[in-house]
Amino acid sequence: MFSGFRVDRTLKPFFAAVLMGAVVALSLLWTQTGIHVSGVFSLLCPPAQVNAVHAPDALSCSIQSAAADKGWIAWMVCGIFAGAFLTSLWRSRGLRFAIERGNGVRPLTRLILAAAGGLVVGVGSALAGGCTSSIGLTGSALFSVAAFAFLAVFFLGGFAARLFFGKFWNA
Amino acid sequence: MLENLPSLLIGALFGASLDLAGFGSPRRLNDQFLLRDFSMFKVMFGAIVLAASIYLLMQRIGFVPAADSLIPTLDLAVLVGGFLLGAGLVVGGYCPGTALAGAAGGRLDALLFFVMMYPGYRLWVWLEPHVKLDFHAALAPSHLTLPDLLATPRIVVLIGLGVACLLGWRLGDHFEARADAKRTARGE
Repeated sequence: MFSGFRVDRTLKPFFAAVLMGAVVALSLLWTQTGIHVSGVFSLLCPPAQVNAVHAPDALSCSIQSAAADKGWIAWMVCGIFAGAFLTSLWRSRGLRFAIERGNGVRPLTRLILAAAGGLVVGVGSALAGGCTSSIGLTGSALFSVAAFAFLAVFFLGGFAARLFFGKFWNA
Repeated sequence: MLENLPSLLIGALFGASLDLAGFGSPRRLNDQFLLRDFSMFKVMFGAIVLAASIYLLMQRIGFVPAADSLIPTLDLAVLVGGFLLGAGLVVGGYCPGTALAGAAGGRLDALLFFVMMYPGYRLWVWLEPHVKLDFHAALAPSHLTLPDLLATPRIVVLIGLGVACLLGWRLGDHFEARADAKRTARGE
């Protein structure tokens, strides 16, 4: 029996890393695009504006090309949703709606913080021209200096925010 | 439709890997920043080392052309953006990919997070032309890689990353054991 699972049917880190690494490599070898998520929002913005903002963009392949050439990002995003949906159905033995939060945090507080965090991450990914998947994972797999710097400040930002917002997860 | 099938499939595999890693859960992700669960560090770093190894090997046998356009250029935008992504992960619980995985698992907070990313994205697209500071002034040569920076063969850099990953993994084990001991002492 394969013992790579934890109690909640998530993979132990080693096996999860193998799976994720293989998928990132596949995205570089097969479609040669890497993994992208936040780029999908650029599809919804006026192309002229997006191109102006992202002139020397971090990920020129995904952002600078015409909207018609970027449709694949939407497909990838749909795929991510579908893939996670199927495995979570299997893991949780069904679909359950929930607001996941730290102990003692009220649902409304959690939703307000989720909305605020989403807004901040939206600004961050537009600014960086990518997200944890595209710059962090894909860029680093290509040895990019910018990607490793991105990961360093990503963790730094997380630990900085933890000083004020850690209590919402800590309880 | 058909030409986008590979992207759909790769997306599905990536979504599955996010969910199976437990990254659809904001508590699991934030346990990283509370130094209780190093899954995020371990899985990300491990995945990077493995993907880099496979990619390097395939290049060695002449399978793939180098994808220079995929290599980000170091500028202030990447640094400030990365900081905001990390901070947003602790405030809101997710990053873009994990929010999708979380929403797919029925988490309404993840859905709200993902939807709210759009106004944030639009806000910056609208704001940037009015900002005086040039966030996109390159801080290093375009598409700079570690092997170029260090003037070292890629295989040596890969081995170095592998060693760093193993050391980080052990450090994570140490912190996790300490957190477990604290929980046990509290009788949880």
